[in-house]
Amino acid sequence: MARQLILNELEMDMLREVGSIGASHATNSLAEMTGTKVSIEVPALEIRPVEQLISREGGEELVAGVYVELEGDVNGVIVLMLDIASALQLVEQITGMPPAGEELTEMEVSVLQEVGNIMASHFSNALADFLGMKIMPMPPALAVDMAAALLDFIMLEQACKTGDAILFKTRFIFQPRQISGNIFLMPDPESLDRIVTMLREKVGLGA
Amino acid sequence: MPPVIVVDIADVKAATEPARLVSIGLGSCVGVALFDSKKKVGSLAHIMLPFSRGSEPVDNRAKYADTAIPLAIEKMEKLGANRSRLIAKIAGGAKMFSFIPKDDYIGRKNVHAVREVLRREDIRIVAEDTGGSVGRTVEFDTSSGTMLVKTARLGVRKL
Repeated sequence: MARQLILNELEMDMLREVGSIGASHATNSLAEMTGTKVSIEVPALEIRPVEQLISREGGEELVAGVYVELEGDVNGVIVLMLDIASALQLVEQITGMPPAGEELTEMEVSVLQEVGNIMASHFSNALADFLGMKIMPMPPALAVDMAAALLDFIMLEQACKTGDAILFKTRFIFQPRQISGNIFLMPDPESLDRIVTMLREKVGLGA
Repeated sequence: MPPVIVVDIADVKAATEPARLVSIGLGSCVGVALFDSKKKVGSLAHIMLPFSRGSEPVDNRAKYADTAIPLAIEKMEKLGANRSRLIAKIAGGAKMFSFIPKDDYIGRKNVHAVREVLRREDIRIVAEDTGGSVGRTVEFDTSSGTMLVKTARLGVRKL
């Protein structure tokens, strides 16, 4: 199944649009949850050797990552990633309670998992509706560790077959405290093929 | 302090003393340090995947356990190391999200592959810190042969 993923400009544009629809639904759900404003940057879509993405996106800094696997017509993962300070601020914004310390408490962990769960569900529902596909998010898992270590796990699990990772990355900024984070969508290569085929049918280009 | 040589993901570096070979943030990846204590030659491989298996030609030998370890040995021999004297220390191969119900995660496959390839090359593993759910930064000192394994929340371990 190992083959090069080569997409043309139109396909890349359509995919970016899909990523953008998913990311805006995800961040809107965060805005509703917190009763404030969340803005997103233009999503980036990259398909490149997995080692290049890992070494560029991750360092030794401590981050919180919420990992949600996708099953159904799209296999892959949605990950919410925040540096640890932003993660604590976000929890405080939602619960109204200041952080207990530098380590996450059980309550803070479950709040973050729920945030990741809600964002991933909105993201995947928006994709599923738009594409007419069935996508089911699995229960969320949270880890707090070095960014590079989390990303190497996440990306290698998705890209181990072809060596190429497919990354939709959207940075969001959460008002009023300017808390920023990233939401990643990483479909596996076969799923990306299915998405592209659906998109081509949608715009009347056939399979 | 000896100079730091960074070994990025899917890379192999070898050096004589004094040097510190460093790989940052190993998750599923495995850091394999080889050492010839007589010649004070060391190497560090930042291995990403278990086997190159038929994906010929191999795009980058440093990426896979079965090609990165022979590559490390070649690089060390060029610096005067003797393969019969080499010992290994390994770290990494974690499952970063502990609650994911998955037993065949890449980290475990990587560790198994590294052990198998080292056995095939007849190199003994003298110390190991693998598995679990923790990210590791490794620092290998080519003078002492010491490998420091640093974690974000569980402190530093000396191998």
